Amino acid sequence: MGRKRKESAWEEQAKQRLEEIYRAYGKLMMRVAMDILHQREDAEDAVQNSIISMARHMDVIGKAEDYRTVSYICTVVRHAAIDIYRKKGKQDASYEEVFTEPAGQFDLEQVICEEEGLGRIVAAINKLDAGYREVLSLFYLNELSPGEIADVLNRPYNTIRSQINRGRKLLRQSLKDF
Amino acid sequence: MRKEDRLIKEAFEVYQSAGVEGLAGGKGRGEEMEYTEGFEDRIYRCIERLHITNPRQKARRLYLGILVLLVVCISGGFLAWRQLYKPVRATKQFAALFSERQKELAEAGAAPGIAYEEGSSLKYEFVYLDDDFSNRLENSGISYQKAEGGLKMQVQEYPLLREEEVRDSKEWEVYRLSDRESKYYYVLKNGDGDVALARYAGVRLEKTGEERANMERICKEVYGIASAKDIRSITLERYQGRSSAEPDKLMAVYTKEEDKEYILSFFCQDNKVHGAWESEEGLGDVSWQPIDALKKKGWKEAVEEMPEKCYLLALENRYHENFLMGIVKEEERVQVFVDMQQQRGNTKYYMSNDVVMDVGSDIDVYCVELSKEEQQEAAEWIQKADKEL
Repeated sequence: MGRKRKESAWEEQAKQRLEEIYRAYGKLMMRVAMDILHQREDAEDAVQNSIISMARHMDVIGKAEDYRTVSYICTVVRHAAIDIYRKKGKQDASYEEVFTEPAGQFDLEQVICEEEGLGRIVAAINKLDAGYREVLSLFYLNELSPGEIADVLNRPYNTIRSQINRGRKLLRQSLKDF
Repeated sequence: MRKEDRLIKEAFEVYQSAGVEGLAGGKGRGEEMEYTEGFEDRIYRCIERLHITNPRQKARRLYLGILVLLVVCISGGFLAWRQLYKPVRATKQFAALFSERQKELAEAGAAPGIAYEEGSSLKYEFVYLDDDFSNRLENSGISYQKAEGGLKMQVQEYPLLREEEVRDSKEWEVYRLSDRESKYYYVLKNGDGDVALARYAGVRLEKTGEERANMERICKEVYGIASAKDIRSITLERYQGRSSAEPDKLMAVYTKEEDKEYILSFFCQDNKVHGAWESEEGLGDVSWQPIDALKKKGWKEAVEEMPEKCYLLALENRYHENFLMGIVKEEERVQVFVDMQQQRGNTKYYMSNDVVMDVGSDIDVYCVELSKEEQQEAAEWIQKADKEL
């Protein structure tokens, strides 16, 4: 009985947090979705789908103002949008074709890294394909398991595992090239 | 986390914090983004209708599931092991009960009685149980059942009881220990409600011709060893340690199938056993050579005169019962004596009228007939086991 009450309190709290996230980043979510879909109705569907998707992994969402949360939200929305884009008759569209990084999202020169090693890795991350970067970001930054990433990005588990491994290798490779 | 992964994580933190700053902090298109009318309500309704499960609850369920599975596996494994180990435990309990009672009786001036299994040549020593021991037997969990065909035990010699009443029951009903093929231990009961424990003590060698006991039969009938698979391990040890500084007697333990098979076939298959002390009339067509040699040097004499040349070979069956053989190795000549159980424990437990006797004196000592070539092979095998010979 006590446990049930606890669970329902937890659920209520989770819903409040989702609302809070939506209030804070609703517009950002729309903008990310619009960048891919260019249609308001579709973008709204993507936002709704991403809320449902986020609800499945509430434990990985930290404080609303945390940059990791924002990064996670953007990734989830982006993928919800891509899914809709593909369903709209562009099944063969590649990830790179659909996903255009917002201009000026990242400027390496702006990142000041005291440690040379770290700076090199940041530069290497910048060189990575967006697909790998996203998976690695969820894995390292949001600390999602490969299974959870597969669920969030709607991709097969094995694909995610190999993307993590390949992404790591590519990072290592590009570190050698620097 | 490895150093490499930690660095990647830190780099991602730097990368994403800068990227997010550009995304969230930028005054881009998001500011003028307008929703369709009612969209926000739709989102809030959607959130309201969502059934969000606590991942911890899932983890808890998983944890509980794993725990239950673990408990089931462990208890299943334990029960299987218990079932498998049951006969072994029964053997140990029985042996402990037997020797405890035997010691108690010896202190009271009594010794085990001798009885023969009806219709066979198997000989047993037995100890009576008093009420206390009977209760202990019943409460020990040792399970036994009446032997097939209403098998009986004929008492040949009652134990000498200095102060206790001598019982006159001639026939005892035989109960076999459950879950085993061997006939090493028996529980005996007579019509008066008396209970006794019996332990195999040898084979009667009075019969001649075809009925004469052979090693294969003893192995199978008494110890339940029909093939190498029925043997748990074979141990070869010295009769006495090399010196007081080096008291270790153990020479080799054979657990590999091929080793067990070799030893079993070498010593136990197609080999006849012959009484070393029986009368010449009873020997039939047996070669005289080994018998003569044995008459000169039996096991007892050998262990007294040249203990450094004596070895014990124990074939342990699945129930931890030992088929013990005494081996005397003199250069190329090897003699093998059978059923040496009494040599392992207290040999002098038979006390009567202040005379210390050995129960072995009542048990026939008999040996395996080995050809010259076989003796040579056995000598080489022992030599290999004991490299410092």
